[in-house]
Amino acid sequence: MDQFAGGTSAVSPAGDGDRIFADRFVDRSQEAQAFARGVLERFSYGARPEDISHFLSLGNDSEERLANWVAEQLDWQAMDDSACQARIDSAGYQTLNKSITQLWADHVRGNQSNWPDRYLPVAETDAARIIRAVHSRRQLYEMLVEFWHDHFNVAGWEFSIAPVFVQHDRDAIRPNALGNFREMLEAVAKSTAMLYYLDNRANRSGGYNENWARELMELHTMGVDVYFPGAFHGAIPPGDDGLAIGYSDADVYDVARCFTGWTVRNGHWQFPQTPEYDTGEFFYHSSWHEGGSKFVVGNWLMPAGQQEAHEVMNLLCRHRATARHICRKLCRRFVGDEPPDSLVESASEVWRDQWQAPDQIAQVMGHIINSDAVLQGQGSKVRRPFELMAACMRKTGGEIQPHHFQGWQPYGEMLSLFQQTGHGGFRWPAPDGYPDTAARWTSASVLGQSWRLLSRLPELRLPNDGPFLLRIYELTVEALPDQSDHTATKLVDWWLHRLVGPEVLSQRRLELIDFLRQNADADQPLNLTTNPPYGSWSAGNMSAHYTPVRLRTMVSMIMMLPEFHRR
Amino acid sequence: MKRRTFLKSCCAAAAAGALPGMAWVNPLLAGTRSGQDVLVYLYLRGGIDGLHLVVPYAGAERVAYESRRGNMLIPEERLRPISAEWALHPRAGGGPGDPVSSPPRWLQRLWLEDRLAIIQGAGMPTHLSRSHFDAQAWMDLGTPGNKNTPQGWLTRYLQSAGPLPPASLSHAFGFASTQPLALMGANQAFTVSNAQEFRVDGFHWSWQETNPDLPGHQGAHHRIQNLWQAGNSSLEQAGRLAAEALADMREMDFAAYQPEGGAQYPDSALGTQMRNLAQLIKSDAGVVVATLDYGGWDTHEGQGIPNPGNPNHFDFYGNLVQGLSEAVDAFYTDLAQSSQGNLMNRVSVVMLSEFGRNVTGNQSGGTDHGYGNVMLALGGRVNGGFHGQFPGLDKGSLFEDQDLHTTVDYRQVLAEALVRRLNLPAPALEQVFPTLGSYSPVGVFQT
Repeated sequence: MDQFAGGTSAVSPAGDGDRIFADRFVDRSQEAQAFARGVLERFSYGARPEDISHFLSLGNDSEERLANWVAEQLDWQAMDDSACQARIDSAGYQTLNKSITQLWADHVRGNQSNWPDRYLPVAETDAARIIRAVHSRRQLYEMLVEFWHDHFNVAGWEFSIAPVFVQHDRDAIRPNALGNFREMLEAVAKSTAMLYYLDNRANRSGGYNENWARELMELHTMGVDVYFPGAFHGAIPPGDDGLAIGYSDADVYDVARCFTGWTVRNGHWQFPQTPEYDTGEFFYHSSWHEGGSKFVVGNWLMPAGQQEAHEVMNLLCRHRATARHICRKLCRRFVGDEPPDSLVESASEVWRDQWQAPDQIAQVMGHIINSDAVLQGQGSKVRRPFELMAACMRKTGGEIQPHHFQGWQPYGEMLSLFQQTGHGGFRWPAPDGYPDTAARWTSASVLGQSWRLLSRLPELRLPNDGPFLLRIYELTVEALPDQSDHTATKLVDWWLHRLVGPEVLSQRRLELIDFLRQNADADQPLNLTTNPPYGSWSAGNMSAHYTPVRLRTMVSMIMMLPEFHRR
Repeated sequence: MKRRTFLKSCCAAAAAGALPGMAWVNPLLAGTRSGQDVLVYLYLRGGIDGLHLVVPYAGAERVAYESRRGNMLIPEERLRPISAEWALHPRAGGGPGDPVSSPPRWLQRLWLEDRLAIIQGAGMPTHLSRSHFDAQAWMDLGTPGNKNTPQGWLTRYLQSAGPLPPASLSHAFGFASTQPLALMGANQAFTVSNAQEFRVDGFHWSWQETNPDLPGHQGAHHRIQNLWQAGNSSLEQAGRLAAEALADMREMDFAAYQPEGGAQYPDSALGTQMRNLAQLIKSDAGVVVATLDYGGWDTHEGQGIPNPGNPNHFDFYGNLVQGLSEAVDAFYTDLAQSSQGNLMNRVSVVMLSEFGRNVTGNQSGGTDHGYGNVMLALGGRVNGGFHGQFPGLDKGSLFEDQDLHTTVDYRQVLAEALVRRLNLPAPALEQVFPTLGSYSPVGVFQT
């Protein structure tokens, strides 16, 4: 899909690891392959040869194959993901299945003498999301989960939020990521993490706290494009649906009033001093609710206690501005930084028509991905650092079970380097979530720290000379078992094809070959098999000098290519 | 000469061994020194409650403050007075255990030395937004009311500045991870979150560097530039800049840097970044503008009331104030007492935020979003003291019955820094702040 000024090199697809699919009919035309790769790079955490082959087996032309692939991905619960779940289950995580009351008892009220204990819930959620991005078959679903975590951002590593973060991820975001937005919003509004993050747990009558209400309208639903600044109700015109077309500060204040009393059973001194008021669960405290009528997006809300907030969420969820705001973000995430207005508009029609459907979000995603814009290969995205890291692992068969607090090698180092990219898991401090445009993610800092991570990833291995996380050597000798194929040219071409496909600027390919061959001939086989994994020191013979390491370094360099940074 | 070739010629000086941490001080400029002024744009993200930092101490505004401030009121005896009618939050001049009568430190010390300017009523008089993200974007882009401006205000300054002294590294540094909006579209700005760790050093040692003892051996890290050499997409251009920044900054040893004048940078992201910036300025790296962020000011809940003299009293806002005060004070001291002379005579720091906060606190011990605010400036060529006009806390003066009003357009202060300190011709302000209208300096900076 990307055009390059300098032309492309012809890369041999020989030995691309597809042998298991070779007896099935698949359209292997370059065009079909390029389309499949483009879709999978865009809508998953990395196109592997087996993913491309599977895609190509799904129909007779690109449109049909795309539709079938999307249908399969959107029906995520029907997709058996037990292999990925088994990886998570065997990693020894302790908190992912704890109820909110258990999280509260163990990690908020429990013994705090072991300092990481409080942070285990967010740490393990972060670890599991990496495994899922790399190994889950539900790739599109996992990308939506990431999208909604950005949309409903909470600073996961804050003192109050870390111990309850599992609930936010598991009970609010994940069940609804391809479901119904209204249901997700309800779950988020009651998520203990969010109630702490945007202070609604402290929002009470006689001096409401606007923090949640403002971001609810500005970020989560209607969007700042329809914000009319001003502290007085008045001149926002109504739309044809009977709702004001936007909101003002006065709306924010009244929404805040509607949410007074939505709090957490956190043992507050004004609650009854009994254990059931210290469980960490959501709780509506009626004596903190502010009475009186409220006026929200042009509608009077009569005093109705807890019901007022439900009515507010209904108004916001059926609002046209919400549909546009969220569909623009979805299109920006999955199509391009400046998505076509027509696609945003048609997607938001689906969003609004289906606002009460249980599979509302899946329908909208189906609409976006099956659109002409995607079929015609429009748009381009720059991978954010998380997508970069996940793609590296996914495309090299990464065997990973990350732990934040179990030593430096390999995961402490990996996660620390990753955090330096500025994209650490659940670490964005502000409620707008991580940015989503290339202009923000191509700073020298982001790219430099990403390359620093990528330079290290292939060297990371389990302690005591255990296996490497990335299976670079193994994949190489499986695909090219014959040592005579281990020339710099063939190794570079095989890895280029696996990691970025055929569209690579020829001078970059030559640079990689130059590095891999050093002063040997590009067609002279290198000795990869002497003393793996590192190779042997040899001052006089560069074809045997640390060749397994050199292969890994070359693969690192492919991961740093501009071609690898796009999806 | 290309920056890189130039740098290579500097490495001889590095081998000769100059000051620790300043291995490659530009030998061509050493002694002559560029003398270029530097503007530091330090953004207090989240909307600092300026009324909690610069507090009415006596007089009519104190009366109005006491009647309106609710549970966010700070008693007089907990403040550090800096004039007959105004006081600073105690943590701007001392630690949590220091009584207000203890010797002034940090911002209060700089105030006493006339190096700190406080601009009252600063903000965006032409536009209102109580949204963090819109208000910040408007200010960083320099176009209130419009967040779709493709370039930040500092980017447009660099484009209209005319010839600047050649930069061995860059004219612009953004101390951030993702690209700062004020430098959006600046194709020469180095954005570096952590200068010390800004290096590609993860390859196996056998291929990290070129080994000169092995004939034909070529290392990996310097090849990144070659991999990004071709292509003209914006990604490829950004990648080339990143590769160049990596190669150039690799020569600097940030860890070994020794601050001067006894400056003690706090052990925080801001402290480290200001320390790195001081080193870059001393090294004549070419810095003309730099951006930094210091966040956490969105204190809707548990903002805190200071209790000076009580070291165990937790004060969220006070901790932030002290973190800021210590960092800028260390930066000031380090540069002002440099062996190269008082470098603060050519360095100015402006501190600002997207909006102030509601005058009356809420029921959760915090303050919600407001409008007018204070803005601070610091430097050897700053006119210390009060500037602008306090908008007033009486009912008639409040904005929408609830917030401090604005009396000074923040752009006038920045414009004045550009004109008086960076020698930007005033007519060029039209490019930097296209909707500012006429330039009317506030008097914060000396010419």
